Amino acid sequence: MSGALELTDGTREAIRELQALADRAENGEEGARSELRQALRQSAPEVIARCSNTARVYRGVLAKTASGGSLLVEEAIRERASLMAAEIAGSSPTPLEVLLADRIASLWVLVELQEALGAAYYSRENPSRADPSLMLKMSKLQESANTRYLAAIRELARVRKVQAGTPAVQVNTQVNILGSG
Amino acid sequence: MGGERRKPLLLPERARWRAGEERVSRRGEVAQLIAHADETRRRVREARRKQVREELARMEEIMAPVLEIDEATRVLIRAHLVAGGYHRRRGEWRRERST
Repeated sequence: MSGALELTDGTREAIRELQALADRAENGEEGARSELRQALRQSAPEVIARCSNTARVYRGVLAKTASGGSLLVEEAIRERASLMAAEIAGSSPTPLEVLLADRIASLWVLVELQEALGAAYYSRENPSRADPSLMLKMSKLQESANTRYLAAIRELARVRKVQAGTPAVQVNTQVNILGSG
Repeated sequence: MGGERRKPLLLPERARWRAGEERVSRRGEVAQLIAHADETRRRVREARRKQVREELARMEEIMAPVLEIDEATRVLIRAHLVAGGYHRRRGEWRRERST
């Protein structure tokens, strides 16, 4: 895989630092939360932008692999994923929402690719059908990608709910039907 | 007899067991055939294993950057929420009363 598509060492280091600070803050360490806020102010915009950018570029690579050499299919997948990311992000999204939308779109392309590969493995027309153990392992990878995809959707909903500051609402509806007799 | 099929008198495994590995590899035409078949089977199995390894490595290579971004996003979300005064309780993010 090309190094240009991966996160830089600086970005990885910033993410590790944020993770360590979040751990400390969650464990109730004094001053860790303000330190985390400061670290986020300093590094988060760049880290988020880099992750979003990498996700976008990488979607193209996945689309190319999934297309099987067809330029039309490649462009269709790429465009569909971009539209999906834009639609999920909505109007005036925060940078974090943009990143979450990009992550969902990337995972969607990955799931699509795995489904396409799986279909090729199972196809009767495939002269070199794959080994059953390979198919089993591939289906596990597919399941893992699918789980991540669904988790990413849930996480976006959770973040939006938290950002909106709305408490959980429970609506109970009671319908009384009065008999005529 | 027309439709009747006879079982082979000596299955390869049985022959191997009787003759012993060393003798099978050295003696007789049948033994050589069995050894050759064994070698072919071993090669096919190895080729299959190699194919599985290569395909899995290829898929993992394809998946790696997406998974890295997935993990990075998870960390960023958590950092933002913790910084914003939230904590996790039974998997749910809740706002801390003191903040």
